[in-house]
Amino acid sequence: MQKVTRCVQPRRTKVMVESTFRLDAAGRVDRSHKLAFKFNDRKYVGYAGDTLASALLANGVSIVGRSFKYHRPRGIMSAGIEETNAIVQLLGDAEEPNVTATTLPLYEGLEARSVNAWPSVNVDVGSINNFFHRFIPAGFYYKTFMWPGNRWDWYGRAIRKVAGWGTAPRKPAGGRYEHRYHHCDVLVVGAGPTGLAAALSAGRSGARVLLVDNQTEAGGGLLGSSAVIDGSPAIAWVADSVQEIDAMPNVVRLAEASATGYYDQNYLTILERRPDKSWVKERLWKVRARQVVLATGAIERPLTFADNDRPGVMLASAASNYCLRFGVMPGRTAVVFTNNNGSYQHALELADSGIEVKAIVDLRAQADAGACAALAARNIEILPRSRIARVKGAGRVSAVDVISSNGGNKRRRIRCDLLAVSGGWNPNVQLHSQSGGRPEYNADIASFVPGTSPQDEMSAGACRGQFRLSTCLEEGRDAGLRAASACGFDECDEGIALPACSPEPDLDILATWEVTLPKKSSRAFLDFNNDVTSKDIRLAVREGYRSVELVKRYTTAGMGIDQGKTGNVNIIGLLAEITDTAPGSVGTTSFRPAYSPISFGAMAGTDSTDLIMPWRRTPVTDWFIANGGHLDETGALFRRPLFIAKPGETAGDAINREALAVRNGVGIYDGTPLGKISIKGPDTVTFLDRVYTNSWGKLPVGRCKFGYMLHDDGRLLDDGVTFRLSEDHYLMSTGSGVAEVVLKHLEKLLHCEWPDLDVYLTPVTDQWAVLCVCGPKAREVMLAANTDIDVSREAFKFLDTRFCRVAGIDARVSRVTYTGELSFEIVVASRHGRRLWDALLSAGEKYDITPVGSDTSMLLRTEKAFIAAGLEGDGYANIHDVGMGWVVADDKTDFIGKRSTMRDLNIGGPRPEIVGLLPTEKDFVPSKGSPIIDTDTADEAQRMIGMVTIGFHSPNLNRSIALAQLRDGRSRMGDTVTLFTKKRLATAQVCNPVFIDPDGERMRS
Amino acid sequence: MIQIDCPYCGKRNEDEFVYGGDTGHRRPEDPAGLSDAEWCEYIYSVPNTRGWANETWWHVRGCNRWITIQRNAESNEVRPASQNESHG
Repeated sequence: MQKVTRCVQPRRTKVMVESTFRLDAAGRVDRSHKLAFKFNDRKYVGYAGDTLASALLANGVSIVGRSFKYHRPRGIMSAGIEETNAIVQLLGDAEEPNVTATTLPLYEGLEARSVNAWPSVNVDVGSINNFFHRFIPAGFYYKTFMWPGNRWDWYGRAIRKVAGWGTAPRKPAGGRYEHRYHHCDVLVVGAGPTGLAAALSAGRSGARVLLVDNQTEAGGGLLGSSAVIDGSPAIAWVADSVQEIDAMPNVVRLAEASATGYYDQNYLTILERRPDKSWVKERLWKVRARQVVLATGAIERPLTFADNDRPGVMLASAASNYCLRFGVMPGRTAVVFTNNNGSYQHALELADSGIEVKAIVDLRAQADAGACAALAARNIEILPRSRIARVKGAGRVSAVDVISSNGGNKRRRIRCDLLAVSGGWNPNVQLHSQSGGRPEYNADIASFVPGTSPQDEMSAGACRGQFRLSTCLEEGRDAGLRAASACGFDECDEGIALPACSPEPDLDILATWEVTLPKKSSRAFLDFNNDVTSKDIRLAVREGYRSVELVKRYTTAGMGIDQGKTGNVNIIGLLAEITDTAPGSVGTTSFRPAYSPISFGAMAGTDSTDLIMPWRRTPVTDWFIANGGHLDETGALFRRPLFIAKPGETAGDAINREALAVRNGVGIYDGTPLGKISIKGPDTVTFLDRVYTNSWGKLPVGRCKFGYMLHDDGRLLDDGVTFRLSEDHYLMSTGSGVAEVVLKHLEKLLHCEWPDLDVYLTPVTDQWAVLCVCGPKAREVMLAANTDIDVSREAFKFLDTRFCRVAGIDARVSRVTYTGELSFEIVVASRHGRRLWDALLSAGEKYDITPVGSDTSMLLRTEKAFIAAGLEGDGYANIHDVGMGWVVADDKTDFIGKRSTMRDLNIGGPRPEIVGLLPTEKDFVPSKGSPIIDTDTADEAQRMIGMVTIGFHSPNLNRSIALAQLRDGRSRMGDTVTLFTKKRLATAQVCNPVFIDPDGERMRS
Repeated sequence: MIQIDCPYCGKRNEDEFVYGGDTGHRRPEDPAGLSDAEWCEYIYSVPNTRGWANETWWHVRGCNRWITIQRNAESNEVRPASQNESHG
């Protein structure tokens, strides 16, 4: 067995001094402002203006992480958002997993460590996988962990442990996250040369412009470039442009703000990190733009060659960027490996920064002729028709082996500690793709460019494959003007004056998807993030996968943090090469939001803790909180007590006490959450006749009636009582949870199906407090509370409703019940609810009036078999099944749900009928959902003959009871059935579901 | 998040609305006159047009009206319904 990889990290970094990889003068870092930070428990120093990545490079740290699958040591590969190797876990108060070191601005006290390495990046036990790689091919997880089928949960945990990217912070995220809505005429994404030109032009026209850029400062590629504009460094033009933009009152510019998602109708989300207000950690902008200009630039892609993932292999543009923007040498001795002209400029920039550039290894036959003289002057050798066969050095590049076809294919070793590579440039078409566009292959740049824009969007500059600075400025200007003009701002027809730029050669790229590998076992990485090699793609094709979407999923290429930013085009190109098609016909995978990771905090915004779902309150909620109410959400976001426990009482004790009080004395229940819909208009009766199963024509004023409302598929939508308050005014009560669903149902019928009906609905749930006094002593309490009407049985009958005063408060009292006891439901304006509650409690004191919670109410209704929507009235049972056939008016030609009910009868056959169950063991309470099984049937499909819909211990019967749906249950009265419970089988006797007062004498008393 | 142009309130975000289905899917005039199969066709075969369709939306967090718009289910483009299609 081979020993684990040893590191070659420079020991001198122990001494916390800015190392010698820092250049003396170059770059945009502030050398007077030192920042101390810690990485993997070591102390380092960087400068203001550094990213964590540039500071690590300055300190000579070469290994920053371990790869996902093989745990190979990895180093910083890029200088931007596309980084797939330098993924770190931020520690301390700012703990956050999976932060890209290349985009993280350095700050004093920053503390981070590598993810995916145990026990450390330099000695990683998991790297043993590296030597078993031939046993971990593409689709390994699918193939290996399939057996035994039920053990995936076990495998999943084990794999997660070794594979994980970072760990979720244990502490709550510090700081605030917020959302902001924004509307603008023109949204410009990207503040590189193109975006700045676009924002300037659109801004000058007077349009409202939002300019966002994901870097700490505007400038994009120009921040790390030696380009010249109008005879000065390009960065001067950037500074002038930014100054003008920031002075425009109609332009908002955001830095460190990534456009993460592009949705329908120009709706984009933009994640702003560290915004202007210090207390806001991240701000998610939700932007609706009339026009969008995408100036998102391009990302250099690596070449696919053997061991292209060694620390010290870096994108050529990134290497140059570190020198020019951060004043950091990513190495001392470099070799450049390329297939295009763009890298020649980078080679010069590296050389001019003090790096010894030994050679440019060019895959093409013809190098950039224009650069030859400059390269010769710097002693940089050009090796055309050459490739890199091998990269030496495990912890850091130490040399490369070059094979030149001109030189008889002999290997030549060149010592270096930096290999700057370029495989071409990938325009950032992700947002265009998210907007619904289909990127198209462009052979000139061997990559994909935006296709037709389905929304009011246009791409400009490098993100549509135009890499020349002068073209970017021109396209940016034009796009800004066109976007502003499309919004009606066409006064300014010139935009900015186009400055003169330094000349640039054509890209002249030789499309290269895989550099010839020296050995069968060589690995060339396409997706560094997920450790996907070119061999994996070949394997996937051999195993029958052709579609890029399937290859992606089978190999996991492009599915990690990278999301295809660096690897996608190489994968498509290689797939095309293997299957002998054109990259254009392979097509891209669909890019989906988010373009770059979004924290959960930003998604939630201020909707966290208590604000996730604000509770609705009734006038009595505070009393319950103060008096032992066990509050929970019980529908429509109302917070109400399940029971009201006295000190020392368990939930069961409290529910039993409350239930006994209602049956034997008097209870009081807060029914305020009950849905209420006021109905007016001359056609109300017709309307009620159509939406309820029964007839409403004969309901006198001052009476109410129970109604059963069906969906048109014949299933229960809601049941409740509707009152006739006056000649043309009705009030419907609905279940608490379905109040809005019922309103939608009714409004839709009125608006869309029966616009001829003259009926008006008003939801009034919150306007009225509803308190229900129930129990044999309820009448005494009503009298004690000074109810100013005759509440005797003869004068105030069951289902009567009366306007009166209770405890001096204007009220409407009704004889309705959900407990089956003598009940008075008192409705007062919400603002009087609490006063009435207090008055009733003191009026009932001598009768020991007992506040009752909704769990108790559920028990009481179970004893009476009052149907509950969602339990007994489920998506299968019809009105006859639940024993409510008496509510159907057979003489009505139609009502909502009638035709489906008729169809059930036409079909016939066994039905799930509601029955009561008396468990054989009196203290065994069957739980909701327990199946009732037929033990005599061998046929598995036929075994389940019913289901418990609710079970309780009934203190009034002093035994357990349950309601159940049972196949043809009403013909099984007295039978013993078998219940299948979690742990064992139990038996129960089938009985009449109404356990208490089957004739309903109590509620009429 | 699409924007819906409410004829009463103007352009509003989709989350102010509740989707109400295809306007062509009207309740039959005489359910009793339909066979079981025909009735089931109405109940369960809900139109799901690819491309443009007239749809009702309930502006529940706005004017409380049911409105009719045209929406393209492929592109999510929204445009006003022709006059004779609108309700209420």
